[in-house]
Amino acid sequence: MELPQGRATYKKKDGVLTLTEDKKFLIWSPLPANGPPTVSLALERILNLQQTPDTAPKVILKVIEKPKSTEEGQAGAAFLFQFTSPTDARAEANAIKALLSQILSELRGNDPSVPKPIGTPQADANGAGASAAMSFASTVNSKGPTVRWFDDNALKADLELQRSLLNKDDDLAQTYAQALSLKPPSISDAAFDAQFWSTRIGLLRAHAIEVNQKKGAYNVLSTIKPRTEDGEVKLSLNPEQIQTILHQHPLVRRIYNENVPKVSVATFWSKFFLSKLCKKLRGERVTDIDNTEPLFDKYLNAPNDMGFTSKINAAQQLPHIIDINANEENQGGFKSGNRKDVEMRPRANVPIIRTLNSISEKIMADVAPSDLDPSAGPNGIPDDTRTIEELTLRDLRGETPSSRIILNLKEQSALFPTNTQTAQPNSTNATDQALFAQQDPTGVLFEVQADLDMVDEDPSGGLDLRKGIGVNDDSDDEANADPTTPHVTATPHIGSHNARLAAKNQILSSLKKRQAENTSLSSSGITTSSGTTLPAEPLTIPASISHQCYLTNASTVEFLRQFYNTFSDKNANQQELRYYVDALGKSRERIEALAEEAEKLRREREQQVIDEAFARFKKTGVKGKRPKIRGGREDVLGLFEQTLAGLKIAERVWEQSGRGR
Amino acid sequence: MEFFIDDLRVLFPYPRIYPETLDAGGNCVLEMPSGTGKTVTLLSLIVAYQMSSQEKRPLIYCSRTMSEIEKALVELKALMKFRAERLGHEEDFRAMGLTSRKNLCLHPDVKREKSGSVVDARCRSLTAGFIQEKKRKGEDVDVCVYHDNLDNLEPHNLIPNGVWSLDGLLRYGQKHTQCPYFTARRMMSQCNVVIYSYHYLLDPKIAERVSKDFSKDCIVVFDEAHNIDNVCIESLSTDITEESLRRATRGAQFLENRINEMRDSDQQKLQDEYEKLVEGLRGNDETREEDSFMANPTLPEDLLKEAVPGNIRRAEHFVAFLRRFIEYLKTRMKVRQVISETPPSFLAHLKEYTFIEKKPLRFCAERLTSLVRTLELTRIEDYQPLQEVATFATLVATYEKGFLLILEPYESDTAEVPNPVLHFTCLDAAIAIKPVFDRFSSVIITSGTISPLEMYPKMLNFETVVQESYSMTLARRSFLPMIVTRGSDQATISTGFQVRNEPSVVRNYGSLLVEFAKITPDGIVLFTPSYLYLESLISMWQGMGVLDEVWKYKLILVETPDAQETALALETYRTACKNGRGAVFLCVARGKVSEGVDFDKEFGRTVINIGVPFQYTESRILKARLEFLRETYRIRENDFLSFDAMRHAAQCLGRVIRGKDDYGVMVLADRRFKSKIQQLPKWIHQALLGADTNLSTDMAVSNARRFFKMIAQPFRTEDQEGISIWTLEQLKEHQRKMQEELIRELQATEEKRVNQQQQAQQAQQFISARERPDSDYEMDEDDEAELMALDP
Repeated sequence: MELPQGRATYKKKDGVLTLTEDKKFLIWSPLPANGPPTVSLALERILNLQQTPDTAPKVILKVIEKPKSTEEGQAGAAFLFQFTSPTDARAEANAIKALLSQILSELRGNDPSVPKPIGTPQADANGAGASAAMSFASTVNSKGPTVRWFDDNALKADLELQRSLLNKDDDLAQTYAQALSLKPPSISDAAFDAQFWSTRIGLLRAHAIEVNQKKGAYNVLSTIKPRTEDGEVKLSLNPEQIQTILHQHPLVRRIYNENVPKVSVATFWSKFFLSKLCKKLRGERVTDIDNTEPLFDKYLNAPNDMGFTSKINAAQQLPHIIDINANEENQGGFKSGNRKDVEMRPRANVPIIRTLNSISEKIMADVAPSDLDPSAGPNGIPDDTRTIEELTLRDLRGETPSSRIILNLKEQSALFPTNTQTAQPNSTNATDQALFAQQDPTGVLFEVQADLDMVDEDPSGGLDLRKGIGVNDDSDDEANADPTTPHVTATPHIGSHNARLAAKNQILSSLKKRQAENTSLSSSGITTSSGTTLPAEPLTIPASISHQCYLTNASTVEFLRQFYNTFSDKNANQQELRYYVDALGKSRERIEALAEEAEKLRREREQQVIDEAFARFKKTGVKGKRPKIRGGREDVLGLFEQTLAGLKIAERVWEQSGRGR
Repeated sequence: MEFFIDDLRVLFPYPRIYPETLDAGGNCVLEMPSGTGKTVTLLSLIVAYQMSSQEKRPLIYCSRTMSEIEKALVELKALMKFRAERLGHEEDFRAMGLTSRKNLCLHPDVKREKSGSVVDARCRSLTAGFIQEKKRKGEDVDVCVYHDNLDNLEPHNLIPNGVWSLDGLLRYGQKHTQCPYFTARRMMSQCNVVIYSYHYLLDPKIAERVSKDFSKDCIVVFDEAHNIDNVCIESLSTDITEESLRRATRGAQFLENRINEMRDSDQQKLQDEYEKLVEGLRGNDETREEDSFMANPTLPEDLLKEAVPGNIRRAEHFVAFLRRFIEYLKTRMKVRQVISETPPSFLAHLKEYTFIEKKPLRFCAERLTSLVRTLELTRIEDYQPLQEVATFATLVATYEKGFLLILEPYESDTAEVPNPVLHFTCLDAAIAIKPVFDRFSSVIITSGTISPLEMYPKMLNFETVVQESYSMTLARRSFLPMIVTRGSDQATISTGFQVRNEPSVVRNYGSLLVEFAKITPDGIVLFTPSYLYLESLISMWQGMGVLDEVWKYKLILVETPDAQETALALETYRTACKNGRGAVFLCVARGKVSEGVDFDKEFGRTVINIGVPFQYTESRILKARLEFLRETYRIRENDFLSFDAMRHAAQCLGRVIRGKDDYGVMVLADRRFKSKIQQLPKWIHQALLGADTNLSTDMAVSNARRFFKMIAQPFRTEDQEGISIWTLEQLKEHQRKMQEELIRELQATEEKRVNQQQQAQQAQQFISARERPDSDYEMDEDDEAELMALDP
């Protein structure tokens, strides 16, 4: 095949655009087109093609190159070629574009890096239903929508999709807006978007699938009801419904085909919906009093299944475990028994039943049957396992090894420089490790076991645990807490009063916290996109504040994430990193501010309650107990406890990395 | 897992076990909740027993439908594989299933036939003994290569050891070009486990042929046996219509022509047959058992040895005899009023008019078979109606009690044109199953839904050793039974005969379906009490727009009288469920879908029972049976009716649950269910909360919605462990506890005994004290009697 070529200008220079012989590169060389090409694009690096519409006076082909992996998120370079052939620029451009699109789609079909949907996308059996969405006007991104869902970059680049997701998900929109407002000016909007969405590909994909999911076939006749208005029958039909009718009912297709030029489309449909045939197709009983409609009546007994093939068909061998037909013949030989009573004998013709079944069968016609013949397994090898699989009691099968995702941390040393410091040979951990390394676990266990066995026979009356851990009720707190004896603080005495007090406090405080969290789960919670309900007033924080808390938390987490992302990337822009460190600080401030606001609110409420109590006291002379109003600063900070800890760690990591200086 | 029950080493093919599954050993009736691994439990217990004991008693496992047979075989296969893995060697074990020729045929032409009886007939015409004979003589006859290849094999080793599912058998047959049907038939006595339909054991017409070689010590299991009484009755009942009589006359004519032909060409053969018949029927039976052309009702042993009565020994005499009988039946059919009479009265009338005696009548069926064989007839279809008449004759002359003849001249009360039917109906289920209990020492009857258990021994007239209904342990409510008694408009709903076609009832049922179609994921199964009502419901729903509403959410599929159509509908339904499209399957509670097809997992998330599936009470046959049950077994009419209805309802409900991780909603939509809660199986009854027994549609829907949300929460296996699922340790712990309990119980009884003795002694003292003249103790006679009773 001769390679198409076209005269085109690139950067205002005249030249010739064509492909190399091996069809691997798109080349442009300046006139007189015998020198080496100045532009050479590998076809596999082409992301997209765009061309001016046929009607436009100028013929321009825009080739967009894929961004290099180092500049992920950046828009790829674009090359603009204007076709200048005086005779037939359009044809030249089309020829090149056609070839390019063909090669590109082949390339993409084999691209292993693009995750593919399971199975090939079903060709639209409708034929006529190839919708506008399928034909991408000028782009040749011919992957089809299904494939695009699996392409991360396509998702990241799809602004439309992102916008619709933000519209749908309020929480996400908030986070996005907040993050955007705090974005350092040095980062471009596009880069910010790319970064923001890079971790939310899953959300985008789910949304893309949700939006693009086509509604399955349905029984179209049952959805159309002519209604009578002022004695006239009115009917509204849309093109899609007509398509579906023609698809589902081959008979109507046939009549349409045979008659429509003669009869106008409008009359055809209006007559159809009043005809006996329509009633029959719907499964209603046809009576003599129905309108006669010569156009349709002659087809009344015609078959409605021409050209209809289903993947589910009766001739197919069903697995024996669901084969009703074979059940009927299970016994063999002479059938005995009295005939069924009148209630169990079906009447001869109830058209609706057959109609229901046949419509359902038509709707499912393109779907592969769920039960395959076990004797014809994949690759023709008979396969019992499927039947067994069907029958086993799954919950009795025991543990299946859980499939974990292993988290690989790159450059851990950079992340946790403290580790390298503490891992000195003389640190306690290391000494312990060295000690343990020399011991044989079974031996040690055996010894301990033996010791425990001895306890019973021990003449001293066993082991005194109290003594063992050195409980001393009278122990002197001062002495133990003496800062001058550092080794004591390092390894606090287990039985000491202090240690026990601390343990008690820890237990009590966690109990309290849990209680507060549980009791505040009021009915009017906030439901997030993921379906979990957040309590409206956690830790008795007023709803107005708590809502802000959630949002602040989300943005803080987002910043933390961004921080670590940049931090762990050695090539990251230092300025950007510093910016995020700043943002972390600001996050803390935001939390503080929230806490203050909550505290203010709390005080107000407290004051209010005190005033009320005072008023009551004045009136009745009864002193009420002063109630404790919660939900102030402390509680807000409590709510943020984990987040704050996270911030702290991030800051420490930052400081210790020494990059701040 | 592996554990011991009373020193029996049991290998169970799963690492965990449901607690119900334990505790299972004459005759017993067991009810285990649906989907708790009944089959695998029974199989693993019995196989463990078989393998450990010396005599290796074979197991005959009877199930209802071919689907159930295949399921049992597949489970057995998995079990044996597990045992082999555990024990480290393959055991010497062979198991097979048997179903009709139609389902097992490989002959390229014959297997294409739609009707089972045609397949049977064509198969026989290719494989019969005389055909083989002819072939040996070098005549040009059609034979079946699949069948003939069997003769080249060692007769006791037609197929290697192992568990052969029907599918596997078909494949093996295809590969080695040997007939799966005859392989199974001939190997049956060599098998450790045989799985086949009830009929092969219960129907005397078939049992005689198929199952006579089984030894007395076989263990017999009837699985899915909730319907066993009906199967028994069915196997001994038959109908005669005018049409069948007409065709029988034609058959007799053919027969006569054939005899005349033969008399001209081969007189000797007829003479030989005559000689044999003098010796008795048994002597006649030298050909292989499967050659027999037609099945015959069971005959007492002595009869088989007896000479065939002289007046039907000669072929032409016999045909004339048959014709006379047919003519008599034809005149009886002319009567235009309902007649019901007992067999003796019928026979008396027959004798009066035609001088036909009871004795030759009894031999009718057997004599016909013999004649057909002698005449070397291959087109059995022509003689089928004649066979029916002969069978009828034999049955009517053999059984006196527990049977009734009912002549119905009109199809219904309103019909004008007569269409007479003569029903010969068996009323006593015990008659057919009696030979089974007589012959085999251990019979186990089990099902997911055979409540109340005591009904079965009563109806089938046998004694049980163990009779147990197991409840279901669940760590969470995995199914939600509800009784809906009112529609959303608070009008009561019921399928009672008077109200069931009222628009308000039909509309309420419709809206119930629509509402559940909205909230149920994947599949919904809906059962109606009868075909007739299903049809009228659908027609009315279409008119009301209910179906249009359902179409918005689900596909609609309906069970039809045609089995093939239904199979296609079922496949479409399953595909739609699996695919996520969702579908509703409308079927009949006593129909073919309700038996043997599971709607587990996504194939059934909601099951709706519209109406209590009562039998048609106006049926004369049913009325006769009810009367018989009351008089013979003291079972009240209403008890039986509601028992029968509830077992079918429960059966329908049970279809949706298989395993404890499965879930589903069960809706019983009829006012009358409210009073029948007690008749539900224990495991359903237990899960039915008091609050859920009198709901309106909207309440039921909101309940179901909550249920589906609850079930959507993550649930781990560990949460169930120890409650609804046991590991080996937990199982052992349970066994230990049970033993301790047993010991404690024994101790307690011992103590009680001692106490009683002491009391008795005290009583003695009282009495002796009273006997003293100055006694202060007063004791009346009753007290004294009571105390005396305590004395062991």
